[in-house]
Amino acid sequence: MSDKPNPDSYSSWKPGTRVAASVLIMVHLCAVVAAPLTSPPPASELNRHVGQALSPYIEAVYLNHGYRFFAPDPGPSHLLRYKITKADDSQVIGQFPDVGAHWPRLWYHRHFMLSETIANLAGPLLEAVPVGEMVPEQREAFLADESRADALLEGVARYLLDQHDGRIVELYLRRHNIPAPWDVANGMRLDHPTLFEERGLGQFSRGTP
Amino acid sequence: MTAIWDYLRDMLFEAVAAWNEFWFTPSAAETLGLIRFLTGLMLLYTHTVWTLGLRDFFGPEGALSVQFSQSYYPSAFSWSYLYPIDSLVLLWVTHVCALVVLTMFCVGVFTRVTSVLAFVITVSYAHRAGGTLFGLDQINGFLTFYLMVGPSGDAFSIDRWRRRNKKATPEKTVSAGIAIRLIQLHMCIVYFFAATGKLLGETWWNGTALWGAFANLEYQTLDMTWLARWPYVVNFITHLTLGWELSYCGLIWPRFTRSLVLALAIPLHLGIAFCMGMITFGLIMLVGNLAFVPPELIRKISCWSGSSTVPGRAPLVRRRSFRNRSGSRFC
Repeated sequence: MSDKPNPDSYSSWKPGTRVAASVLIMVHLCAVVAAPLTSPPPASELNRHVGQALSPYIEAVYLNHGYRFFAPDPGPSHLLRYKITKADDSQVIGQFPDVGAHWPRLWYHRHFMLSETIANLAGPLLEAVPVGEMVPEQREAFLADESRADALLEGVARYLLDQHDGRIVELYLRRHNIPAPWDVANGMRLDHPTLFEERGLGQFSRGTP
Repeated sequence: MTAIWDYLRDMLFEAVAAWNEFWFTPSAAETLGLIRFLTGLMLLYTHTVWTLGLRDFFGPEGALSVQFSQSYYPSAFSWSYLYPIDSLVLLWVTHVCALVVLTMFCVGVFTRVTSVLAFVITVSYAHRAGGTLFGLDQINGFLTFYLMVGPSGDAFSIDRWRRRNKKATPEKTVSAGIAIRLIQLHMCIVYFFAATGKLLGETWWNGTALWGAFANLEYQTLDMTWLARWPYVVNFITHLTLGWELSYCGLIWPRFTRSLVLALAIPLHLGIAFCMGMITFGLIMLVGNLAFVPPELIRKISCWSGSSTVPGRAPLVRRRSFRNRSGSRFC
């Protein structure tokens, strides 16, 4: 590909074909750019409308990504702690992701992302204002998130009960905060108990929704 | 007035010519072929790992119910052939078929067909596994899409090997050029949004962002917390990372700066791979960066290293004489 345009170099396609291909390329590139411009919020009215118009294509070819890796700031991570009661009343306590149990690393990462998704869906619900005090748009979004969080938590509870042949499982969301560098320089371990915050997500048993 | 009109007309013609040059210049297939092989390996690995969770995640009683997957991607256009499967046996059959197809795609067998199937498989698993995905799956998705657009089986493939007697070297094609250009632009867009998203964060400005990554125990595979005593080093790596991402979409195009940008991509992505345990993500980002390596260079390297665009055999180049008197390789 030389620096100066040379018509001979691209003449293997007829002008009509080039125009059609150009239109397709432009639509595709608009979709590629529109996806991160609209999600995550905030997004301008213009971007939202363009994103909505292109959303069938964006969704169908799996372009619906924001690409905000480690942005705006690398934050704390989230874990899912579980306490399973078996039929004989013995208990299994664990958490995921678990570097000892989930191997290879990609499998560990799948569990890690699952616990992050639970935090993203269920975490804000735990801190939300009562539904009655919400404006209609807020309420709609809240109920959608609640439905997603419920479906995911029930699935995860079922998975854990199956894995451990349990009767009841209690789920807790753990937030693992990042220590300050001076604390680590003074000997603080990354798994120091003061770095964790925990909230209950619910109790689930077999056969009950 | 005429001078202004002529100037604007010339500008328009030049813009159209530059657009045509950029998109429709035929390109050799080596770059695309190498990206296909490496992306194929990554797809094969990614989906092989899903085997571990086939029952527990996607099974009828799995953690990720179809109801959840469809609510996670609520659009009617988010599709997956895995949605209607409610039998574990059928799930296993389709999964094994998917792995076979991905293997064929990786080594380049019936690549025109298997590239389309690889894309269908990739998107189907991504939509079905919503909530467990990360950057790797996003890059896998768009690379597979572009490999479907271009003739990705024209180099480093069994398809190429089967056609070895018909043509000595892969032909340059316009569609290979378009596919490579699309990957290049998509990589620029990825880095642009990754960088601008970081500009909203305080830690990327005060230079401590990388500490947040190094001191995150869940990500950590290599202990870098000794950097707690070296704040300037953390600041420097943070600023370098952001500066590199911000400048990528501008500096990757001029030849003068391209090699520097690509050279910096290696430690940055290998750092993510080995310090933060995201080996797959770090490697697939490097695969995407390969789009900026010209096919001629890949051909030369493959010749030096003894391999070729035809697996297991040096490429055959038509020469005037029947004998290569110097005894050197025909490259």
